Amino acid sequence: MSNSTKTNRSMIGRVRDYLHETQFAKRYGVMLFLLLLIAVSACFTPNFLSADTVKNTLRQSFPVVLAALGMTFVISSGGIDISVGATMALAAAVTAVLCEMGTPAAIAIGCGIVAAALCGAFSGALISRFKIQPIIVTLAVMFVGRAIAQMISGNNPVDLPKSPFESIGQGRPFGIPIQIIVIILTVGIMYFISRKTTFARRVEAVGDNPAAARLVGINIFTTTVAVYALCAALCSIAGIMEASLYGNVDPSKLGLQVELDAIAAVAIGGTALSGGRAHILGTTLGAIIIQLTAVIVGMNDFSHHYALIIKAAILILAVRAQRET
Amino acid sequence: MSTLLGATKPAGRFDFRSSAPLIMLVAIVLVASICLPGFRTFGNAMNVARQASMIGLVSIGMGFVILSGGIDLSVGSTTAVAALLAAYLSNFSPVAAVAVPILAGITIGAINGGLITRMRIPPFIATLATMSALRGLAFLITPIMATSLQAPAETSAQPAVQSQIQIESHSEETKGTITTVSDGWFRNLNWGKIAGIPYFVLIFAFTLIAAIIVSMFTSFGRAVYAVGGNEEAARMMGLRVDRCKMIVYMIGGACAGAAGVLFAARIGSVRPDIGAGWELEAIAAVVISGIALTGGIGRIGHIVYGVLILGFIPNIINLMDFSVSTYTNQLITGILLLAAVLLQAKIARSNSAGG
Repeated sequence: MSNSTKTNRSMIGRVRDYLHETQFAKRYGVMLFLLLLIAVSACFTPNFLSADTVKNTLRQSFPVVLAALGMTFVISSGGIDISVGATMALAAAVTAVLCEMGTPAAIAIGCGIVAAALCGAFSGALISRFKIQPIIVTLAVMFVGRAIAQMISGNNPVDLPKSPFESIGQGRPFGIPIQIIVIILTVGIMYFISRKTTFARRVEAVGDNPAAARLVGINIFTTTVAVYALCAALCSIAGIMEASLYGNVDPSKLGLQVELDAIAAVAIGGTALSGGRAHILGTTLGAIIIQLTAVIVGMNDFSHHYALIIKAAILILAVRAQRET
Repeated sequence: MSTLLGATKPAGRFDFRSSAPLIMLVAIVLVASICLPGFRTFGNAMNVARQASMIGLVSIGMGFVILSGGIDLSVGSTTAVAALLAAYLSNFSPVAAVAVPILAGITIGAINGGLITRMRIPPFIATLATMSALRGLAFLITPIMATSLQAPAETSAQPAVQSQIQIESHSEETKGTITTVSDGWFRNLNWGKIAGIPYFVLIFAFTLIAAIIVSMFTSFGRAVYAVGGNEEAARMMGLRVDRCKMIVYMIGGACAGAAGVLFAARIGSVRPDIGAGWELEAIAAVVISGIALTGGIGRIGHIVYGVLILGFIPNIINLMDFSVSTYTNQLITGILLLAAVLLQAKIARSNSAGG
């Protein structure tokens, strides 16, 4: 839009130009949509404006938020990771099986996180070294990862010992569910990383233009490996905490299809699927929007299958709105 | 030119890239036939082929989509919706039970294509959205169809109606076979054979041959390769890129719809959660058969290798009879997929290094 034609435009036209120039939809669209969603539901849904709704929404969106935060950097680097759900299951299964064998909980959790991070590093290494499409590598890792999780757990749900895991899954420090505290902490850390560190710049450079990134001296291999390992590590935390919430690990169910919600959250949040700028806060809001629609649909006594359709509509609209600017 | 068509072989050189999937398949079949006596029977081969033909149909559609540089995650959900429609309509008219689901698939493909070409939404996101929406739709139409089935239940043969849409599939499978008697034409799709070859396999084979002809000998087929190879160049050449993409997604939808029909005919009772994960299996089959996910490279005909390789794995695991579980299948599928793409990456490297 050129500026010269702006003078004899109608009010709407001028507002439109202003929105265009400031990239309004891209910057504040998600936030506005979330507020709109809350405002509309507040009018139509009984008991919507309550602390319970906030708690439920945040707690249920917990695994998706964590996976989506990791996914944001992966997508920012021009990749994609569809193994996040399997990684969650793998980390939780490793932890549970080690605990069953009598390993102290802290070491078991550490091993679970390391196993997941290695899985991610493996994906990143293959993607970067052999120039294989990320979706294929992570698809294979998804198959293998979940298979290994099922194999080590004997294809049965494994119980977690009560003593540390009950407080990990159901703890309420200061009366706030632990998941919400972890969400706030992780979002804070990831936001800091995305804004203040060179790591985020490197990731963005790799996603924008790998050839140029190489020329300016960025080590693409280590960056890619780090991105996928970080994503896997976040997923492992999500997986272990989800499992602790239920007290057991079912490796065939845990984290199933989280990857799709995570990718949707990243897309709604404004990070381009082709790579580039990572929008951490956008991703967080995107994940919350997805969960909130499910909560609202549930509170209005609709079948939760409607939420799937609404989610699709939101995804399309969000990506469409961002492309226009 | 060779990058444009992808299928053109360098003269006088053994084209390893395009024969790798065949070699892999032959190796698997040879080893399995030597080690497992139960494997080398005609009946077993046909059984595997029949089982694989459903995912095979989906893979053919996916092959076109991937060749054009896109991806279609919605095929699994499309299959579910189509199978529900087929199961429901088979109580009224066998023709409708075949035609309507395929038409529904084409419509879904057109919606995908429209989102991608008109609204400029990346294929991954657009089909992710339709995947979710269609799965929701499948769950929502299931009770409608199940309850409206009560009305004709009195007039027609009862087992035929009851077994069509069931929540528990396994115990009802025997009723499903009874359906063949009362509703012969549709259920006969599953049991019927010509010269010992099941209809399913013939349907897959015909579709494959048609797909090969379309991809290699029509201007549309060339356009798909051109769009997948370099979309901008294809646009400048004057190809109607958007129209080509639209048709590609419609083919993908039609194939998924047809797979849904076969599924309904085979199982006789359809749950709304069927076909979950088929999109990933189809992508795996397409990639194993040497079609590059970046588009424009590979051959539709080779999809049969990828489909059969993935089809034989569970069969072989079954015959080997060691504590079979679903995860063994997944494990081997994942490893095979990794091996296949690593091999392809290596070949691509040595080709570009060797000139």
